[in-house]
Amino acid sequence: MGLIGAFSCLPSNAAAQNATVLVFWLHLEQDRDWQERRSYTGLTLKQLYPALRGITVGLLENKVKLRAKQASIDFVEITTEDVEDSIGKITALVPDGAAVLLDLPDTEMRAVIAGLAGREIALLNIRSTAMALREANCQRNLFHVIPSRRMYTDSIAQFLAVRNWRRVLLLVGTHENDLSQARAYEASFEKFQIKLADRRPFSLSNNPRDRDMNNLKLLTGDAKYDVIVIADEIGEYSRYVPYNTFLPRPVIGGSGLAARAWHWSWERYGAPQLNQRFDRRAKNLISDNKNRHMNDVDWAAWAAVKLIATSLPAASPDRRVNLLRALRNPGLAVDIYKGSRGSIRGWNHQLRQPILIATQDAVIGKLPDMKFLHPYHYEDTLGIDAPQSVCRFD
Amino acid sequence: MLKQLTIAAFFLLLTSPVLAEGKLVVSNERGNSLTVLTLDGDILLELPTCGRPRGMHFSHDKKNFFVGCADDNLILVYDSATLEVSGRITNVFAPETFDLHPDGKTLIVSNEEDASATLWDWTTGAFIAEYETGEEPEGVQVTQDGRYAFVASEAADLVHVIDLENGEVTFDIPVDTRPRRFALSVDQTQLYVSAELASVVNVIDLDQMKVTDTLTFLPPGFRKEHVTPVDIILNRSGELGFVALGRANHVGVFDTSTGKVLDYILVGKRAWGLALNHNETRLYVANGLSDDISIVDLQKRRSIKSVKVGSVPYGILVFD
Repeated sequence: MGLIGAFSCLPSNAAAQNATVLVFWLHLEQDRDWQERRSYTGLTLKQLYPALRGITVGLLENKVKLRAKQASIDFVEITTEDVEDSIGKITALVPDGAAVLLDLPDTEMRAVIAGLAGREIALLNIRSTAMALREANCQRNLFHVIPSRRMYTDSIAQFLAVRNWRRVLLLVGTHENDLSQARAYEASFEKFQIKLADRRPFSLSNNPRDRDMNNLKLLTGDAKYDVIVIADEIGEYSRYVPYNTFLPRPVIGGSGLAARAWHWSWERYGAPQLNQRFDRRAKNLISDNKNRHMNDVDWAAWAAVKLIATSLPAASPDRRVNLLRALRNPGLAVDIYKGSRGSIRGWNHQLRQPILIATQDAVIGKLPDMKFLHPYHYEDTLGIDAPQSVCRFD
Repeated sequence: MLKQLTIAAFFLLLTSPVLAEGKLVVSNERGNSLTVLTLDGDILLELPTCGRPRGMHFSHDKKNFFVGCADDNLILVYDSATLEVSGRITNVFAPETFDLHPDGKTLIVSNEEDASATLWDWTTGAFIAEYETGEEPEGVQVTQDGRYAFVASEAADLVHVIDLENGEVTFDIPVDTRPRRFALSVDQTQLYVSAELASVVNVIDLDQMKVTDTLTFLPPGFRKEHVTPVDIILNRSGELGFVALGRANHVGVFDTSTGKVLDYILVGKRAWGLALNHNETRLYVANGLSDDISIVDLQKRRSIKSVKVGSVPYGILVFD
């Protein structure tokens, strides 16, 4: 643990009257999702990186905003070994009213969050899309900056409904996450009245006895559908599906057209400036992989810092800021570079936001589509809405 | 080359008398061009220019105008009569918009990707000074006496007040989400700031240096999130204000004494840039997402014509 050298350029001079808030970044020393994920062809698929680069962009960007509020952020990195170590270090190091950005794989994320229930610190999930954290296991000190799985799948279903591509062939892998992904797709299809032509499991094997699961002609034949949707965590199978289908149909999910919180080619609402700050300025400070673009986790890390900086009150006599309370302010709204202000859903603390639908090199759509009306927020057509949610903070 | 010459000759031949009567110049951010039109919206010429032309401004005598080229780190100086480049200010990092100091020489430029505002002498191209701002500085406004410059930082939700005499940023005024452009009241006591994502215009009292009033705009049938105000201008007497409402595809007209909205004028998609003609009978509106400009009759307060220009029009200058 220690202050990161890269931020020595930030005002550490925090004068006496300044409000200083502590923001921690919690991550594992050995994060399996940061290991290079190589398929046997040597390609890296769906690799994750430490969120530090997104955090760095956020800290640099908010420096002047904080100067105006006579406030500053002290940023601290916490490296841990496992769940127990994480809970122990947070208990020892994080004072009440501070914030922790949680950059953990799903299993550890759930356990650490559960272990910190009831604590007076703001936990910001910048990585996990798991529904349980927002629904059955939701927690008052927990905020979700990254979209939920259902926000992603709802945006795909809404995208299909807008185009009137109503019949879907759903291909599902065998990974545990493929199954949760498929469940989310099915719920989203039902919500937006997309018909499931068939749901079929695929297998990465070459075993001729499994040919109905690995032969694409067989897998995509003998059904009537407008579009193929794939649930594929690893991404190795799905990249061979486009153009290999029995019928000439578009392919969505997996490694083709996909729902994203952010995309490097997004060019509206100030996005080129944010992407350039990430690509050019931050790469000289953080050497995780110099030539990479901002992904969903990087974006969520950036947005989390921005959310914290925006939540701080303007200079006031009371200089003690409780971030947990500041983030619960129902009027909190922050520019998230996607065309509408991001605010926090009162019932489960999920950041309300548009979702982008993108290919490898172009953003094809931004959801929600205004054709889908909502009594309060268009964005609340994505994900589980208040009346359906089992979580009730408000 | 021959073709270019022919076009240029043709243009001069055809338009010399028209130039005297006035013209419009529109910067097309994505088309890397300037569209030149008559005041009635007849297209005279589409002139290739630098990379990503955005903000434009006249010199005081209007004999020159300036075009900020965001992708070329350049400001071009044009001769208004011949439409030829007569000068260039180089190494201006990603210029977005700018204002001209009352001294007639100093351009105050927001450098969008560099979190700074820079000062340049356009007559020599010399760099004068630099001030640190929040990320994505956008609108720039100089006071009539030349003492202060205001720069909006889109990402920091701040208006920076630069004291040009003492050479320092003296105030950071918190405003609503994503501040874009300015208009200064005739008596120099109030500064209007459009806040794009908050769907409002903040009014800053310049004695107190803080927001004292906020104007909201909501054309019938739209939701707050459609209303994304960008350009804002006042008429010469300062009684009327005009705000381009972006995604709400309207221009809002307001009374500056009461702050009341008087009218909404339907224009094209994502209205951003605004300009008035000299006798204030017409308002020109650049519509970024329908690649056209709207010509508004201000007696009727209705759009009377829309004209296709280049790709993603940004700003408009009126020569009349």
